Amino acid sequence: MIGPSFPAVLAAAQRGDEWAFAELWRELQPAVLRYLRVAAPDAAEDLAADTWVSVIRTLARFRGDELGFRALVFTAARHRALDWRRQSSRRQAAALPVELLNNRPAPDDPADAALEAQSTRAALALIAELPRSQAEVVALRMVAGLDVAQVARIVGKRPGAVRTLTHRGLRRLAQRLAAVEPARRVTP
Amino acid sequence: MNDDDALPFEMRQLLGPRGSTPPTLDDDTADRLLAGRLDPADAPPGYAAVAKVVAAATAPAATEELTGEPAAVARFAAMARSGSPTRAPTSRRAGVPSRLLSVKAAAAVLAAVLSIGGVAAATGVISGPAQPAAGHGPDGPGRGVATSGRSDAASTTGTATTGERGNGTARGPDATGPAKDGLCRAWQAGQGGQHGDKESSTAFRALAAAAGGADKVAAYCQATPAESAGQGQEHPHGEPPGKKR
Repeated sequence: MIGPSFPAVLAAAQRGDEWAFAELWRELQPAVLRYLRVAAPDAAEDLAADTWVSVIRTLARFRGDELGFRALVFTAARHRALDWRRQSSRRQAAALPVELLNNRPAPDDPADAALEAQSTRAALALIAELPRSQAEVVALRMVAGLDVAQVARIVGKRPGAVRTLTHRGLRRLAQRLAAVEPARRVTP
Repeated sequence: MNDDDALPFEMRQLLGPRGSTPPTLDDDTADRLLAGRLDPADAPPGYAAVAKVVAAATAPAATEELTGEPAAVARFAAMARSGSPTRAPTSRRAGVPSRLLSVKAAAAVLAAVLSIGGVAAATGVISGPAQPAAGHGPDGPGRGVATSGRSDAASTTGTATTGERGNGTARGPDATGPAKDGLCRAWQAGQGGQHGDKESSTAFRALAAAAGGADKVAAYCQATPAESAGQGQEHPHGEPPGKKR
């Protein structure tokens, strides 16, 4: 979080001051990228750039605090991801990955990498394997750092539904990881 | 709404023994887990590994996630500068003559007039009259369109500016004035198959507006010369453009 200086940073960014953009970008780009690695893994980098472009289009009219700005940014990121997914509908077929079914981790299993190497990319890949609506709310809450009410507004669902999806997603992650853990004990 | 959450029965069977199903978390534990504030050691059964994944997913930004910062920042700041503060809603600018906009409008008109002049010249029918029209003097009272092509932008009225700003299209010269002659000749030169193409051109629309309709252009152009159209101006020819008020 940028904190108390956020209003000044925002005002400067609205004027087009580069230092202010540097602040906003450094603060949010990694989280945007991580969210998009879950929501649209194959296009995360491009969609992150597109996200900033659409944020800047509405920047002059934005009034609000830092949390509101985060919500604005992730709303834009989500729209970019949805557009992208609409264009590559082929991806929908991959909602349930094969590894989830056979309980045996593949050599490059993200679950293994996430636990073993504490790899951010692997952790995000693992979340991306969740059913889409679960992956989306888990990523928005975990990676974007938004609360239930904000996520509910962004995804257009009731807060109760967001909580339910989050719980299911976390439980499924636990199941998925439980399938990996015993395997890791046998193969060092 | 959660269709993608529903697994077919046989897939659930494949997920493993029922006994290994972790409990559903309470809201508070879930919040702490997602925020990275749940120590794996304190996690409910089955969730220690999830806490590790959360830690990995929310680790401090890596260098590779911040590459390209200078280029991105420069690009976005430039976009914001060119787009936001000066791009106020059009209504706020209404009635405020802007030298820049007037110059733009004048340039657009000049381009439109020159292009039809070019078309006409290419047919070998006219050479002179269409071009001087671009720079010529005042229109009738109350008309005040920047599209007369005056180069003295400061004298352009606010209405003219608003109109240009509002629809974003050039209107072409005022064909009731001295430009009539040239426009009519240019139009007539295009008769016989070609002129249908021109009906969407800026110059033709100006002519049609002066004539009172696209279908009246022919009749309007019969009544030459321009001066007889009753605009009652002093003869503009031969005077340097932009000198008149």
